[in-house]
Amino acid sequence: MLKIQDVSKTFFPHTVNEVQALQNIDLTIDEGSFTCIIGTNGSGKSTLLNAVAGTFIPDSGTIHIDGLEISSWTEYQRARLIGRVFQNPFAGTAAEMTIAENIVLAMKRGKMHPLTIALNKKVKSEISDRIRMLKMGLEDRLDNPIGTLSGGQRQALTLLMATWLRPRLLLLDEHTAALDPKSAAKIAELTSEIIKEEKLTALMVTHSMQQAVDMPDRIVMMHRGKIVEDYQKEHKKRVRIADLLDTFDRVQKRELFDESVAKLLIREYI
Amino acid sequence: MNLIIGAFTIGLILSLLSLGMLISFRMIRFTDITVDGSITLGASLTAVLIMAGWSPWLATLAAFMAGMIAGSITGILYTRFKIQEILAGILMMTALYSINLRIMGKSNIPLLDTKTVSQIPEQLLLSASGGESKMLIAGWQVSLIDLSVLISSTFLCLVIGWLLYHFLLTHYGTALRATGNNVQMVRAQGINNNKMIIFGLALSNGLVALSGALLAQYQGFADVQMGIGMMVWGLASIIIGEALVGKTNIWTTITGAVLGTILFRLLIAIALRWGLNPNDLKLVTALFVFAALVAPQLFKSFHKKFTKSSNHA
Amino acid sequence: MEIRTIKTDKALLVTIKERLDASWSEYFTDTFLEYIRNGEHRLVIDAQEMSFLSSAGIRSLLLVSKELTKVKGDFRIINSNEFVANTLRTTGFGVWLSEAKAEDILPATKEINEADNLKNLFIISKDSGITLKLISNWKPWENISESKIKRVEFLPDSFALGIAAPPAADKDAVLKFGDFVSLCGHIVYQPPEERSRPDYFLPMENFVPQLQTIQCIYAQGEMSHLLRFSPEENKENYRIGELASQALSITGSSLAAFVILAEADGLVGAHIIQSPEGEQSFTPTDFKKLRDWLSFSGERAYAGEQTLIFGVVAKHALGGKIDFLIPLSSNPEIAIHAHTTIFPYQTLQNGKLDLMHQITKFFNGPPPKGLMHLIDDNRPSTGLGESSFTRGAMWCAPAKWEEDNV
Repeated sequence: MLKIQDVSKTFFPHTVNEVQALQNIDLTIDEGSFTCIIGTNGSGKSTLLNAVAGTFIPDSGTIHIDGLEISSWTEYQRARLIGRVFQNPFAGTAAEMTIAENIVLAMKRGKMHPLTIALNKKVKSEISDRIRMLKMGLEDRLDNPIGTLSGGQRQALTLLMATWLRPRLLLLDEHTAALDPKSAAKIAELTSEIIKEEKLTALMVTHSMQQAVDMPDRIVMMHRGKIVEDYQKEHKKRVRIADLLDTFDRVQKRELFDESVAKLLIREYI
Repeated sequence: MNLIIGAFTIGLILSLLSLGMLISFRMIRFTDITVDGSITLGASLTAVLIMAGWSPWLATLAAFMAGMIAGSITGILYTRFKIQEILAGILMMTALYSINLRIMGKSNIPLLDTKTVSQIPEQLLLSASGGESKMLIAGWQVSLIDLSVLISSTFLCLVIGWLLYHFLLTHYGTALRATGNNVQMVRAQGINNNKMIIFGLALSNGLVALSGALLAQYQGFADVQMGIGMMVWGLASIIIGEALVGKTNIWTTITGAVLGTILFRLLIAIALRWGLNPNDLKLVTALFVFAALVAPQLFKSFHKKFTKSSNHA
Repeated sequence: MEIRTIKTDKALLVTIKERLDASWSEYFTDTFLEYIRNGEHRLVIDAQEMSFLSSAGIRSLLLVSKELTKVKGDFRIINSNEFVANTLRTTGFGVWLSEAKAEDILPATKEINEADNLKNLFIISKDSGITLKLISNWKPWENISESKIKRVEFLPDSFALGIAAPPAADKDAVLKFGDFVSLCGHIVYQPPEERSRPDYFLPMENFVPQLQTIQCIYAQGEMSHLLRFSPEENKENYRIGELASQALSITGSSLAAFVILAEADGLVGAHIIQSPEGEQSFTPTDFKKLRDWLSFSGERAYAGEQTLIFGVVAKHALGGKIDFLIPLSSNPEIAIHAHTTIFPYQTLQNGKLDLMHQITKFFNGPPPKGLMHLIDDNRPSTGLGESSFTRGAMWCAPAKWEEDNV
């Protein structure tokens, strides 16, 4: 469904700040699967998500969705296929516009915006019916500006907006990280629910090991712009938090293995 | 009475400028300096075309189109060539200065005894009053010409305000408003935010030029200098409007901008009457906008200090 | 609750004040397990000021008592008031109560026995010794020819270390060579993969574990001495180099074999993560490539865990004879080779320990967590140093090489 082939991206090339954010990434995501990307800070996990979303164009490599080569598409063109939820709960909604106005935009995601009145009674009742599933009482506040809502409520709405029109791919970029623990749990639960019910293909970046173990059916671990581990199927089912931490340790251990260690081992290891 | 009618008329004409700036400054959040050039563009083009014998309606429409083109160019400079928004506006405004001089051929065109968009109500009023050029309203002698301009600008203002109101409620208008509010969200919803900015600036400058066209017809001349400071006046009007009726929804925002402009013109008329040197007008306006921009912050910090000290007590 | 302790040469006297109930029981258990870990195996609780004891408190006492039983320790409660005594008696734990007085345990003056150090050395069997054999002698990353591979049986009186693979089911299967250590026939083998945990093979009634070795130092015989060590003033831990040189001096030999069972303070080592094959294309020049072959601990690892080591140490003067021992940078006089396996922590009994008994105990408990070839990290400034230990036991014996090896 999603096919990332040999994608690389270097930020600030040829400077002291050069970062090889993505190094020859290959990743294929199956239709209807829910994949979670974990990794340390600066491992390139969010960069990979952004490469798929089209925030930047990779230096090399191709990205296909449904066999369509989308590597050169702009961010807004890709929105036709992709629904997104960001880490910042304020990023996914327009604060000064009402709940209904925000959602009406999502109802036209990736489509033409005609010169017809956007909100009428019928549309509003459709919105309030669907918003009721959040069980946040927002269905009675459709005309309130979204800026008056809490981070958790806004993130719930963003999630709903990203999936209002069934996206071919749902991208979740640490979307619970900036929330308080209770809201984070609620959003995580809502995410699993929506993905399961709509049978969505989803790619989620998270810091939370617990989420990585509980939510998806595949875990991809990244480090320094590379995929270092990929737990799928039975392997994924076996994975516990301790295993993930072990893997992180191992990866970091490997990181400490530098030239001086090599010299040491050549000398001392028989 | 004439003073009030004059202030009302100019206020209504300039409220189109305010509505235009409402789109750029408030909807797409673009600090657009093109305004100073495009209002003159509207005025000069209309003046030249009317002098050349065009229908005043057609000439006004042409001014509107010209303004849209000017706005789109600013938009393209910003989106396509990644020039900062203020600089893009300054470039366009500077270029327009020469263009306006080219259009007019000189720095000033008088429009004496020419037809204007107000001629229909003017004729209606004349026939109603039986040929008298003045009318007695509530004990005041009022020039029929002035009255007809007031009527036609009210009409135009209502129509355009109504159109704008409905436009902003459409899907497209909603997307336009969201662009100024949260670009990231807009892109994620599949909206071409650059297209929205270009269109927003085009519409904005179109309205500004329209306002310039009407102003030229009302004043009876177009002058290459007439645009200087218009942006600040427009901003002042919007701020007054927001203070007056708030900005809770689109309807109040639009009415606010219109009422704000009218009130602002009235204040200026009164101030001039009381002996304010016209040369100081722009300084006073600038000071006013400054105060309006700073006041909320000052008030906030004062409030904070006050509550803090009371907490300590 | 409040806990105060007085250390005597007979026991650790612990005074408990106020309530021992559900909200304090966990803290109580942790504190007491720490005492036991620190070698206090005779605990006396002064319960004079203990005002309340709930079932949660009794459960904690039971945990402590069980832990002490494991290490043949002793646990008593003295000076208890009627309430506490009754509670214990009615719940069936009256045996803990003792009529002893605190004065019986507290000596008038406390004397530190200067001869304590000697108490820590036990002679098991004066005449025992170890015979060493170098059964296979592959060196990284030579070619592995059929003739390099030697099948070895690990008898109950043997110790071994090296690189080997478990025997394959059929002849053509690829052998996966990884580091191993064998203690009294109990083998721990690290599969050559970064991901996997060590595997282990235990001797059963008629089953003698075997490996296909490419590098194997095989020791047979009995240990002659046992040294117990624990933190002292100004001495918080023991480096492997120090212990190995002790082994030489205790046995009065220039070649010795040793087994260390100790709480790790920090281990530094490496193990193979990619099995060497017949035709080696790899020469260890490119460090990025070496990364795929060896895993390095990268830090002083496994602190607080129980480490079980087999090693060989020799005075370096003999070095010419065998180059499978590496000189220590802290003591270039001696050279060692040691492999360790790591088990989750279990408290060791004080005093004399039986090696076979300890090995059986650990191998029947939770599985080993790791296996390493210990390395002396002597890199200038960034080096992690030698592996070191907090407390534990070292068995050692004089060794000699069997004359006709390989």
